[in-house]
Amino acid sequence: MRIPGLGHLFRWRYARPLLQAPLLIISIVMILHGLFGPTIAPKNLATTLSWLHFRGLLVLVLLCAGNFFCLACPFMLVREAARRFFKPRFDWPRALRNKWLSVVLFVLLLFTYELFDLWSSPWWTAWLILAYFLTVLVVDGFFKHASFCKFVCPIGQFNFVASTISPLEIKVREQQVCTSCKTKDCIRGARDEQSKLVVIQRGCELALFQPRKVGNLDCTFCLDCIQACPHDNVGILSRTPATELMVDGMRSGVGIISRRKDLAVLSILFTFGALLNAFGMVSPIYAVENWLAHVLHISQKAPILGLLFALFLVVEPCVLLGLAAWSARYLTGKRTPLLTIVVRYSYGLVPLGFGIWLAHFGFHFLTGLYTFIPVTQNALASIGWPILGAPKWSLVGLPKNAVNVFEFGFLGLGLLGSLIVNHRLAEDDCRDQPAKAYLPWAVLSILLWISAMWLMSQPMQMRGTLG
Amino acid sequence: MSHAGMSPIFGEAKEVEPGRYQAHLTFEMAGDWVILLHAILPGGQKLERQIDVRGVRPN
Repeated sequence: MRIPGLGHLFRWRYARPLLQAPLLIISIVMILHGLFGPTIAPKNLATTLSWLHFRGLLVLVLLCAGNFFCLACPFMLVREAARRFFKPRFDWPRALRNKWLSVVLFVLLLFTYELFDLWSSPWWTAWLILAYFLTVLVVDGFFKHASFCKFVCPIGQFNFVASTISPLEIKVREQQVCTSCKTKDCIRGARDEQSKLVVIQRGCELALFQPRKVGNLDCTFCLDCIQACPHDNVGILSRTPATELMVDGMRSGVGIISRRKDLAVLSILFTFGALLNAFGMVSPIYAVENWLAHVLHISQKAPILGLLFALFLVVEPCVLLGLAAWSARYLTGKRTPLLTIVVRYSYGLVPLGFGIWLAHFGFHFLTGLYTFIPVTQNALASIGWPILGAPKWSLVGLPKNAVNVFEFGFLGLGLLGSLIVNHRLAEDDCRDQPAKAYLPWAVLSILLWISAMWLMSQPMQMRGTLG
Repeated sequence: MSHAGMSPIFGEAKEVEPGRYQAHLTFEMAGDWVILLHAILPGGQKLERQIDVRGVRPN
């Protein structure tokens, strides 16, 4: 925020809409091209931009900066426009003020991706984007604040978890300034001088009170707190990535993460989902699916996929994390409940999970880096406006050998991050014998890393691309 | 190239006997492929055809 130009931009009231508008235009183009453009995925903007460029840029921006994609979220721009006409009346139901619904939706999104081969279907991809816009309008049309972002959006939850690794965070500069602050505009919103009931600048919609906010969990980088603070004491500041996973204690709007089973499950899903999503793109999954279909005498895709999802997202995490927790308890001789240990150390898996997402999405992004050029050229030519010339289909991306270096580098960094976080957690939990508490989680991290390395070294297979 | 972002393979067909054309393509990956055929007919008309090649197996 001290960077000349950038600081002014982010403090400007219309900074967010300015960043959202281009993405909204691109989203509309993707929907139209997905519904009415070529049916072959590599020739369509909906599939190319969604599954190559958006996902790749998302994880790279999270790695290098922070949750800037939530900041520029086009769905929220439409929501803001709709809220000028329809004011939400209801509070989000108390029973749903957690991550359980979004955990289910996240699994559903991963399942739908595999079931309908979304990467190869411009039509389904366009409908997915449309469905997202409609869901935002319905949820935030009825419910106050940022209910959709905090409790529903599966992409948002992905970003929240991944941004724990980001080097930037929105936080206060000096706690003393907040202590002496009387108005608390960062949470309550800035009020009009004459009429105190009129909010002229909204405070945090996700219930994150800046002086007590820790880390990036649940923060959409919406800039509301920055723009509301009358003391210019809130900014986008640098920090050491992943440190927020190592500390416990009360966090505003989040609570104590070691007691949040929903957040722990989200973190576990984030990590094991990364492995499953990558597994869905390589040759061995064909063999596994065929074997299951043969053994169970099932020919439909949905039940086979359902079984694989149950195996990889429920059975495998339960067994592996349960074993690690049991081993740690056995080695240290403590009587801490297994579930408590699992919840606490599940956050240690997040860096590795992020490394796997980075390796997977980064691979597609970098190997297909330039593909948006011929696809855009083709789209313009097809509407009789060939201003960019004939499509250069030979423009693809970086060579696979070069990308492999990044791929395995991301996995290595992820493992290193998980080992460091788990070590720190073990040191805090078991000061007298941290090595014994640490060992099972280190072994688990290494096992998951080996399976990720094996997955990434498998030949890709273009499954289910023809309907 | 039936998957977004995957490298397309190009090949030019040569006339091996009157009315019969042959091209060599190497499918670099297992899975489903789409062959997009572009031809210019003697009258200058453009012909485009799509041929689906399903279930290419790994080596």
